[in-house]
Amino acid sequence: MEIMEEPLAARGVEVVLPEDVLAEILRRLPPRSLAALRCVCTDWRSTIDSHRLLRADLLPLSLAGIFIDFWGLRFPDFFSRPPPTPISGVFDFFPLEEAKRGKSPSISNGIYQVIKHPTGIYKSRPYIHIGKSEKGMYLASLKTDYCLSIWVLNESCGEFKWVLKHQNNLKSLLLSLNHSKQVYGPWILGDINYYLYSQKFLGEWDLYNWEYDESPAGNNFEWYSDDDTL
Amino acid sequence: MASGSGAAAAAADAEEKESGSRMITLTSNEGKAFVVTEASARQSATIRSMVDDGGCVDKGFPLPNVDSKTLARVIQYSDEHGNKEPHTVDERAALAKFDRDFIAELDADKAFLYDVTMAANYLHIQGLLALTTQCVADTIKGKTPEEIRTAFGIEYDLTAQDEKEIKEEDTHA
Repeated sequence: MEIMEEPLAARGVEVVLPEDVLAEILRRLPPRSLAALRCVCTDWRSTIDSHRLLRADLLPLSLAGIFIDFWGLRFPDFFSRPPPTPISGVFDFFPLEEAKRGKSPSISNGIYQVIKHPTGIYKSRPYIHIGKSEKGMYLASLKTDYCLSIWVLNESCGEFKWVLKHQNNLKSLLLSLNHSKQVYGPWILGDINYYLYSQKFLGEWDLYNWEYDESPAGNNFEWYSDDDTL
Repeated sequence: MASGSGAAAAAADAEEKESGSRMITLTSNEGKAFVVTEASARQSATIRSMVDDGGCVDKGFPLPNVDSKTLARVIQYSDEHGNKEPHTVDERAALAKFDRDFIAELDADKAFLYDVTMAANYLHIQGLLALTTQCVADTIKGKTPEEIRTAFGIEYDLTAQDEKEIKEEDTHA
């Protein structure tokens, strides 16, 4: 009877429950919980590992956010879960206008290098998106026939090249998606790029005017031939 | 042939009746004897296999790993599940309600919950083990590792190297 009334903290669960019982308990938990529970203590970690309770390959991939690109707007914005998100939605690592013109600048040693888009990418007027991750720059295109291609920027001998990494047709996937399935929790539309670009190019361009182009550089010229005393 | 199988069925029936009415004694580690129906005792796969192996039904079964308080509670479960088989929807609902009440009571006393879980594991009472382990799992769910360590009195024993490994292994998750 005395043993029963001992406070729980004094008889830890790993003391009370042998490994097979602990495994029986842990196997009832979702993979995401298990991933976190591996750092409770060495016993729990070894129980989870030795019973192969955590199938990492079955873990749902986490979605930090989505870049959305409004037709009417000239830059994408980031739609994400509340911070902290592992991804920054700030899209300032390259001049966006360059990408729209079909060239991707590469930043290396502080020098811009213009890299041609992968060949054939324009044939079917795809949506093109450029992203940066820990592993490098990515270029993704989604054609109107739902064919998703992903290129990764590869550097060899000082030459940058887009290397096709992945190509898949998403049509069947998109069709099989359960649209009624909801993800709970708030999502936030980060207006970061709106502010970023409106501050960078203050008053120089109309946010909604897609046709506005080419001239920012021209507008910045403070030189007039009339004033030139040469 | 037909009459032969009929006779066999009748014999099995008789045996079933007999086994159903047989009483079995379970003895706790404190020496206290609990007399239960065989149907109740058969909820435990451990006892079931001993009985089926022609074991010492008359002498009873000493359970050195289970104390009286825990055994009484385990028997409460196996009586409910073993002595009456639910046939109707209402009976099944009643049994489900019994399970809910049973586990709610245990949930209030975690140390006792672990004792019953241990006994269910030792006696191989699958339904009871599922019920209790699910209850513990629900307690764990949604807690941070730190909260779990506090709740379960676990000492943090991971080295910096372990932490690094876990972090690396978790990056793809």
